[in-house]
Amino acid sequence: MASQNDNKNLVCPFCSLHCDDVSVTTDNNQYKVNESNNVCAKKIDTYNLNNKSMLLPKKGAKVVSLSSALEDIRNIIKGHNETLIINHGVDLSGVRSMLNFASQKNYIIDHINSKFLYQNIGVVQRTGYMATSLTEAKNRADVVMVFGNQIFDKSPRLLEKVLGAKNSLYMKKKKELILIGDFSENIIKEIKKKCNVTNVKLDLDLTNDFLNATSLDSSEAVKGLKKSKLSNIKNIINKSKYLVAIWLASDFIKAKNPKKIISSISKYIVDRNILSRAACMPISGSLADATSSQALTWTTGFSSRIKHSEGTFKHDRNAFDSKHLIDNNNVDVVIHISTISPDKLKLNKNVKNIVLGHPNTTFTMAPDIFIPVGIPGIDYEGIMFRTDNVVSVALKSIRGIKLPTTQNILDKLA
Amino acid sequence: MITQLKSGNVYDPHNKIFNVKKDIFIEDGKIINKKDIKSKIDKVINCSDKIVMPGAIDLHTHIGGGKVNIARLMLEEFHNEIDPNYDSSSIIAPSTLKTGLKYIEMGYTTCFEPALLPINARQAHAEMSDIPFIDKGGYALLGNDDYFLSLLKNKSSQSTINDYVAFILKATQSIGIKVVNPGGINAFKFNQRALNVDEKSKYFNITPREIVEKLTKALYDLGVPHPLHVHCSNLGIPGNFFSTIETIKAANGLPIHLTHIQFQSYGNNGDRGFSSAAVEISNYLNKIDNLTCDVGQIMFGQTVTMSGDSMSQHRNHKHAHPKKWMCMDIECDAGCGVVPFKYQDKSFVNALQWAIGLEIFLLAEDPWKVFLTTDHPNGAPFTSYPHLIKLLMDKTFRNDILNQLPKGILEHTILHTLKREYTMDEISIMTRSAPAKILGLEKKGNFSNGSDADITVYNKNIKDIEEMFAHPSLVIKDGKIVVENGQIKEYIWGKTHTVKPEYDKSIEKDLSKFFDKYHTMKLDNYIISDDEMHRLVGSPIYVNNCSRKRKE
Amino acid sequence: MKPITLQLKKRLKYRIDMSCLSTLSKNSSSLASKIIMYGNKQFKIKDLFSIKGDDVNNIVIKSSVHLLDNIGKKLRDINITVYGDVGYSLGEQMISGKLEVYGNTLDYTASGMKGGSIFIYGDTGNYTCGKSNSLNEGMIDGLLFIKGNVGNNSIERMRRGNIIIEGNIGDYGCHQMISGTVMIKGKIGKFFAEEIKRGSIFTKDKNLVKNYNKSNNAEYNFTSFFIKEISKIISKNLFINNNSLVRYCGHKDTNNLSEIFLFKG
Repeated sequence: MASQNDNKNLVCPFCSLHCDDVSVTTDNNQYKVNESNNVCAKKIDTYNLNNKSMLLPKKGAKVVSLSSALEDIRNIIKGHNETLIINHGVDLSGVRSMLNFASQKNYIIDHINSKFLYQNIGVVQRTGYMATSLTEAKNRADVVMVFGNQIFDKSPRLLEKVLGAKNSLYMKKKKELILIGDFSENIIKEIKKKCNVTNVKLDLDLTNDFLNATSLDSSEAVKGLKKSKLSNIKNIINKSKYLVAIWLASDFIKAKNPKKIISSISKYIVDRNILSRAACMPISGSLADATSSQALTWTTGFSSRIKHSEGTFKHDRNAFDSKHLIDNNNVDVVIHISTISPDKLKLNKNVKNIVLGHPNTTFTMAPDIFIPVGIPGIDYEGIMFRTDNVVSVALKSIRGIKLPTTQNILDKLA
Repeated sequence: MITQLKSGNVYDPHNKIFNVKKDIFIEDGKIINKKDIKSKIDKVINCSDKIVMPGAIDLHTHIGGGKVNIARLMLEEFHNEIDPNYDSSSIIAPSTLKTGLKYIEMGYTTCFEPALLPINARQAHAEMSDIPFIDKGGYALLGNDDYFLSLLKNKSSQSTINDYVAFILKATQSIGIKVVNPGGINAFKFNQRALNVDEKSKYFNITPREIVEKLTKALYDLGVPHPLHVHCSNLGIPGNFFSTIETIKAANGLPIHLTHIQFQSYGNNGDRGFSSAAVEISNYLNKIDNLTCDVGQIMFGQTVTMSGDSMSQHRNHKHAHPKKWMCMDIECDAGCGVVPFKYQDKSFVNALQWAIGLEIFLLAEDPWKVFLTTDHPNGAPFTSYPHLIKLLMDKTFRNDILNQLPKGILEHTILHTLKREYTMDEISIMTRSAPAKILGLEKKGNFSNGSDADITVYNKNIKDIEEMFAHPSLVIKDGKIVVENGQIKEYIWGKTHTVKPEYDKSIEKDLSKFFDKYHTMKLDNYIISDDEMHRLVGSPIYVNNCSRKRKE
Repeated sequence: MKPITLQLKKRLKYRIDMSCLSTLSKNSSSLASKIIMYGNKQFKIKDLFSIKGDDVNNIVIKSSVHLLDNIGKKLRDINITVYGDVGYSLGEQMISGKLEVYGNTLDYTASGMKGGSIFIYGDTGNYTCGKSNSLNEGMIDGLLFIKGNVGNNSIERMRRGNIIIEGNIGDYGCHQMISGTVMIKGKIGKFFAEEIKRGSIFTKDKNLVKNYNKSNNAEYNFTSFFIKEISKIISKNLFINNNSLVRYCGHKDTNNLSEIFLFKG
């Protein structure tokens, strides 16, 4: 049990940066972030239990015991023929038991963010690619191109920890940030405190034209961009020794051709490496996307959308797309596993919905069975992968509520 | 429970036993002497027409970590082998399950991942924990991380460096230290595209020679059994055998292990500026005692090259087949590069590379000093080991293949003049006892009393050597029969081998400051504890002894 | 010998991977007991389909629905005729043989096709004739005839082969086309033929040739021969009249070498 007023170090499970320098005070199983000026404190606090939290399993609207909930799940999955597991975020142990569970019963597994994942993977699978990681960007990058506009909302401490970090091994000046897309004034104001900013308001579909125009020998113009500004940008870029391009794949989803944006950024970075150094650093989503894709890749060879059939895992990017499967009514039972975010889960009334979730989860409709499970990094220890896919963090347990882990539940069902 | 392997032809090079009819007894997963048997023998396995060897050990195979996962992801189109016994992942980038299955079916029971990035260690161990059957371990990459280089730049004492090396071994749960292109990966981040052994790197002003010197000394002082595992500068560049020999000299007579030496034995003679320097390298190897090496033989066909050496991988990306590749700078720690490649028997360069590897094998006199690897998957997937053994043991077979290669290469190789054929004794040394010795695995690679009962039993009646080594009739791991007549009998999970020399804890204070200031994670999070290895990562550890106490 | 005829026994709910049809051994009895997955349970083909006939080189699927995926995936030397709709990845990476579909298809039809011919007498989905999962090449060779409309992102990175479309084509068609021939009767969507390198396109859309150079003294003997040959293969008259062709070649600004034939109709 966590005692009162205990200072603990939290390894934050909530976004793909997985900061490990957040200290919290626990009090009666509520925790509070210590540094008041920390940009994420409010966000993390909202994951505390509240009076609406569900700590016991529910069948419809009725509270039931864990064993009877498990029995009900067993009955549901026994009586139906196609089951889909959707991963909305869980740690490594959860992914491992999910794979084990699916392999015994021939289930389909998909991650809710697969479509964004595939946009980034597409570049690796089809062309050359230069990547970098957070610490490299912090210490080496002199110019950073940021595409999209949600990136600082989704990874709030990216600016403080990496792009505008106080200490850097080799960068004694402020980093030059080139913001491409439609950034709000507030964010720009915030960034200007820590970096030099050039704001390029640009339709992201013109990314390719913009990048081509910034090469030294180019005389092309870009729609909606002044010539003087362009030559200014040219100067900054061509002086750079270590250029980093960052983006959030989900930012491009409204663009007409998201894949093309990413491939043109990647191609641009690869070309820059002929004479100078440059690298890409896509930021992944905050639902443990990296953890899921890494673990699935090493166990099956495929990063998402797999089904166990005839003794092995098979992959089909279209046929095992969870959205299509549910929309077209091709599955009977959907098991949602959502341990990190309490955000509203979209459930579909045509299928049986089983949810293993965060105690604060809300739904669009009541699931058939809901089992509250522990949050990795809050209720139990685990491993998660950071956005750059190379660093994994060891999550800690900071409060003493006895919730079962996803692994416990899935292993009992398997 | 006691199991008896009855009257097999036993090879136990560690105990100087070669092809002797002998019984082997197993109790509780360990080898036991006949005279120590107290209870009755429960199971007798007749091995009268069998060859009995300790389980094979692969000391250099890329089976886990970020770069392997990148390769799996990148080469999705190769994942389609229809083979009901395995999953669909391709053998050039196999899944963890397939890695374990294929290794154990060949009688390999212990494997080492040579490029474990300290920052990526947690992932690499988690990945390797999911490989069934085999015992595993990793060598931590040093020599390109900014902390180590700043230690050298600030002229820190050897003892501080020793502390750092020992700390890394403990923090990353590794069994050895590897250096890849010493200083070169770091220099590439400063846009330097080549670094010779005595060339100073741009920012740090440090030569690869200094790095190798300091690290070999550190491992020697600490008493770590495995000497520095070196992937030299200028990998794959014609004429690089000079830098190879200079790197060996940098060890100043202390033990050093050169890995995939085939890629390091190129001359630049001849009309194409590419020739074999196998003679020079093997002469040197035969002359000195402090050097061991593994070969990194190539085989013709599609594979994928993966390495920490982002400098050379970026240089090679133009040769990618299929045309895709990836390089990455990682966390002020090291880098990685993944480039798919197809070795073609019609290509002069590839054919000569094939011949150079074999030349080194055949010219190296002492099988205790040269090990059998293909640098999986860089030269070829590990499943080609039986084929490689046949190439070594069968002169006619070797020459038949040589004669099918481009005519031009006969002028550039002396392979056809080499009459040597490896004996079974020598194969048993180079795949079992020698790697166990160089890694300090006292309980592996031998049949002494109390050793791990990892045993491979081959069928002597199979005339084809390749077939015999590919399909052992019996594989025993930790005393359990896991493969019998090609069928998997039981799934078991191995341990992770580590070594933990002592060190002065004050280094952690300095490192902790460095991490807080320049890294994006804390030092606490970087260290993998024994408890974490077991509970979260999923593999128990086995701490091997250092060969002696730390020297100052 | 009569072609093997598969007829669905019941209404399907779950998707089925039919790629096993392409790897048939030359023994029709083995087909009946071939195992396929339906939902999370294993079935034999004969449990789901009624099977008649014995010619393993000719397969007919009757009353097909859009849940049958991967029909003719990596197909080699077999003719398959489908009456009804089909699912994803029809004829993906097909090598040789012939596929005929009297119905509509879903996405990734004929992606990464390497040879053979496909006739679709209905509409196709997005990514038709595109890059197959993870491969960087689109259509490598073969013939594709589509009677109906084609979805978005179709014909990506085509290298060789012939495509005849009697309906309309969606947005981002012919992206990064390397070579090959595409004939389109209907309307063309937005962003057509971006980053095209070479290849021939037959269309009546005048907007396409705005920035192209007109070849003034082009001869049309080869096209006449070509149209005749194509007509023979699809066994009906092609929608293009050789007499009305005007050839445009090479973009004015970029260095693409593609040619566009405008026709009237």
